[in-house]
Amino acid sequence: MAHKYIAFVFLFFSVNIQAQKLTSITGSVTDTLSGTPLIGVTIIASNGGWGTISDEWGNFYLEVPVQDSIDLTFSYIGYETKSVTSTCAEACDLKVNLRSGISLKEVVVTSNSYKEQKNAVQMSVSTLTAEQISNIPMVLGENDALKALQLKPGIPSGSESTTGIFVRGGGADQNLFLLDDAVIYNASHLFGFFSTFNTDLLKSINLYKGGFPARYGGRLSSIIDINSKTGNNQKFEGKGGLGIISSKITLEGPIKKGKSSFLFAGRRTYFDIFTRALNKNNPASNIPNYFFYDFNFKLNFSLGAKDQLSITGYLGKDDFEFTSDFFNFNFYWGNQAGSIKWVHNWTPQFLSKTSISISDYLYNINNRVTGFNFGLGSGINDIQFKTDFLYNPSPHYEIQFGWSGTNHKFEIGRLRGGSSDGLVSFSSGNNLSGFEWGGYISNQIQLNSFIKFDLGLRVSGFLQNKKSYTYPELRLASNFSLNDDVALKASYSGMVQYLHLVRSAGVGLPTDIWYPSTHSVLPERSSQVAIGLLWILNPKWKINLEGYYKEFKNVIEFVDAAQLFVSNNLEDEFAIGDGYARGIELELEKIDGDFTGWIGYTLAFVNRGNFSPLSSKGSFNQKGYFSPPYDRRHDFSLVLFYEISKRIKLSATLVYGSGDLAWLPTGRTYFQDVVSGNADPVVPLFQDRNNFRLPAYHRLDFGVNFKFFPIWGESILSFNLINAYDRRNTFFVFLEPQYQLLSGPDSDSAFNFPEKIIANQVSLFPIIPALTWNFKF
Amino acid sequence: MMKHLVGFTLFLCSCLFSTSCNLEKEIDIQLPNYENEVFVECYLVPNEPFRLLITQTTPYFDNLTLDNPLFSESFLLNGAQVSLSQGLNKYELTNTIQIDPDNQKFFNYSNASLVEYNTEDSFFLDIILSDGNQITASSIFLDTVRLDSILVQFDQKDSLARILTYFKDFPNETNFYRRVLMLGNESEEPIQDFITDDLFIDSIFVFGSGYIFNPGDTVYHSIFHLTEDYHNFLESVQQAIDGSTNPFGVPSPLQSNLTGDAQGVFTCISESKNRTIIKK
Repeated sequence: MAHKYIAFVFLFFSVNIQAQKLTSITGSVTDTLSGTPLIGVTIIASNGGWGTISDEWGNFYLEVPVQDSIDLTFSYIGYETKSVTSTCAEACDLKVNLRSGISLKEVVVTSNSYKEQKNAVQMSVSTLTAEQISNIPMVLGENDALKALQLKPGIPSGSESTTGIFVRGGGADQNLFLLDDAVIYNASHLFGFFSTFNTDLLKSINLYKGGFPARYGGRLSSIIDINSKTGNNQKFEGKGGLGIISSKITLEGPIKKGKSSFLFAGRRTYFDIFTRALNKNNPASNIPNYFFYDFNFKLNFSLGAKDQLSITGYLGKDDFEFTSDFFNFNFYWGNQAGSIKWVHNWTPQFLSKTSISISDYLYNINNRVTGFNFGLGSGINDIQFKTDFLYNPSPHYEIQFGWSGTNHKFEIGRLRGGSSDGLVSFSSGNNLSGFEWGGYISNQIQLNSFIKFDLGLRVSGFLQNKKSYTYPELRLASNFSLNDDVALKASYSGMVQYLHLVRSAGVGLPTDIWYPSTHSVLPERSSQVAIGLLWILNPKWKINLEGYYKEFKNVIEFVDAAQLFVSNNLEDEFAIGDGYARGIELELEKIDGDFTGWIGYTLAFVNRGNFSPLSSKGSFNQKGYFSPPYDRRHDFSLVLFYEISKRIKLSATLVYGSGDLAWLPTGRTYFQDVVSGNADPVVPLFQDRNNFRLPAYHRLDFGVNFKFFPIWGESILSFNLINAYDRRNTFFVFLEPQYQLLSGPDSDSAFNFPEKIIANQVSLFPIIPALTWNFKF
Repeated sequence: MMKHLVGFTLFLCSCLFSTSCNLEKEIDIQLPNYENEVFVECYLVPNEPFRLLITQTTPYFDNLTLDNPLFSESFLLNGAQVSLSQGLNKYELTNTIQIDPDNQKFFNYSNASLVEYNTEDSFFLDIILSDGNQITASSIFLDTVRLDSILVQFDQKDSLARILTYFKDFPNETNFYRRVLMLGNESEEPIQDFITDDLFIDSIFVFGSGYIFNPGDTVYHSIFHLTEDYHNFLESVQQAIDGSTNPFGVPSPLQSNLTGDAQGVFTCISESKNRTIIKK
């Protein structure tokens, strides 16, 4: 089958594009003040409609018919549009600086040009600007890129205010988070309430839901590609903020002016400062201490006209500690990631990007009681090498190809413990490894002014303990421009996921374990077909409508009464099945003017089923298909921004979603046990999974940003009002037996008999105001 | 650990959202229709009569009040033919209510003969319900654990004590244990109750308590040697309870060891008991 795919791709690769006499124009676009490269700048040759956009390094390449002079227009959101006349008879190289149109407006992200979106082959991608993220009201005033993305159609969230995302029927484990090419395995702090990404250093965040470019692989449902900013190579500057639970600071500046730069960013919560003080003043309080921090850096070097080198790093840690006179409980978890990326322009048309990255995630629980200790942990460690090539032989044809290899090391459920005298000891867990590789080729072809194709093929594989898997992953995308304003798009994506997340609870926790494909555990696979319509209503408004159908194979659930926390053979707890999802997503967006925002709506259906345990000892109660908890039928979001003046900006978000599904017991039994005084005489009987839909979720939030301009820079005071009409949304439901005292035959005997059950809904928060202060200098 | 995490999260919420009046409320839930099932609990305890409880399960939110005239009909399942056998010995159980007030248990089938501890022969349970359905199960007594030592240790302030119970794991086989600790009275609710296997233990088990005992306290501790199916049943019971009360819990259907159209457990109880009086 793979040979057929390859032949198919190369058939199109050999399409003979009509030849013309052309000249090439290359160059780079940077910010006038900071010297940082601008990505996604739209560059249009006015005589002929030829155009391109700048890449992630601000570079662009354009071929136009030979003329005496060519007018080029450079446009970028939030920047003054600039026109440049090129008189190069032969190939020439332009350095273009753009000035921020609104000097205090921060717009640092990819192109949102409607024309660009309409003309692009890529579909099913959600992009947010840093400005949008910073203006969206958030709980406790903590800006969060992932929570902001959840407001886009097709990206429903998990529990209230958590960062988990469930894209087009995929589980929370089917999303690949890339920070400057390095994988982030646990993208959240505080049990999922905050993401690991400090918004102050974000350059761009793109979430691919379908139509996956062939250069991406490894997860079934989404790729979240996050690029951090490049430091200002002209002057030193900084920004920061003080919030209710955390503070942050970002510093950047030149190492060698105009040639190299640095950027450091850090964030830390200070909740533990208060709890430690409370515990110190009141020893009886004994409140656990918790904090998280994350630290990012990026060094960027311009090594001549053809080479760029960047070194990035991330370190994040959550620490939870609970101590008393007799024991010490410490639980920490975190990611470490780093990458070195080298970009080389071999010729104006031929570019390569080579990177080496490392990624490490671990959690560790240490519990010490007098004379005894207990430790539990798990982790994953990666080293990845990757090279991508981009070749632009003509304005109508672009080819990308590359390969990658990742060595994974897994530490599965490490348990150590025993007594200090050595008499007692116990241990469990095992270490596994695997090698994941991939190679791809992608051909973007413009047949004529109406039709574009992206024909790609990725071939990936995994090697684990002499067991090898290889799969072709076909990636096809097309764009049919019906006219200047309307494009029909379609795509097909095959994806393979070789790593599996073992979730030890119903929600994502730091104790979740990454597990490789093995001889018994087959790689998860998906196929997705999507079609879409992008219609530019006018220069300010756009509608994007997409429908999709997606099939899953070899997805994992867990057998009944699974033991996931500690096991020497975790595979015995797996059940393997399949699934399918379908849905429609609609987005109406306005990006220009004082009043901007979007309305998103998703209608979705998700089903999983046909699960069978890997081990003959296991059982899986559910026959046929069932809906997972995140099968959210309707998901609506309204996001509005209104700029009253240069100093005041209002924002509002309204979300409505069908309630999640919960697996509730349908029956109960009286269980008296053999032990006296059974504390739990009511045993719930669970039958069909996810049999109850919780009440619908809806919430209205407001935000207002006030900007001040002190002599030292800029000051932004943000006031957020979350859950404005005090809706009590369901965070979880717990069930509480009510007892009646049952008398025995003699007056001395009596026991509690469970008479009925009460269902209680717990909400996470009521109406919440929050004030945060951000600054720049 | 999860209790700490949940507790911390709730503490965090209560601190941050102090404007809250009440974040918890009772709600009505309409569940899918549920068909009652038969539930059997039968434990063979050495030197105690043969007895078991057969009940009907109920829809989860239905009231089961004692003043309901249908209580006996809807809860206790009567009219079954119940027998237990071991080798050539067969014991018929009669359908009569028996109450064990000391242990707060009641049974609706019993035979006054006493159970003998015998690790050689299996017991077989045979139930024929009034509608003709048959339920069967088997179990065997395992070797009881020999407690090597029980240590009482006081904390640094010499005020509170903990108890450490040591015993050797049975070699060359996978074993399952249950530890139960009770304070003051054997009929009290356990202060410690958990099950474990021996997959991670080298050879010696130690079960410890926190520093919670005062001098003079009487502590009852038991180690049950469990069959694998009984262990799995208890594990599923605990997960089912967690799944309905703990937001991080993952529900589980029960892992019954009965054959036939019923849920429940039949097992022989291999228990090692000890009583310790805390002394300085």
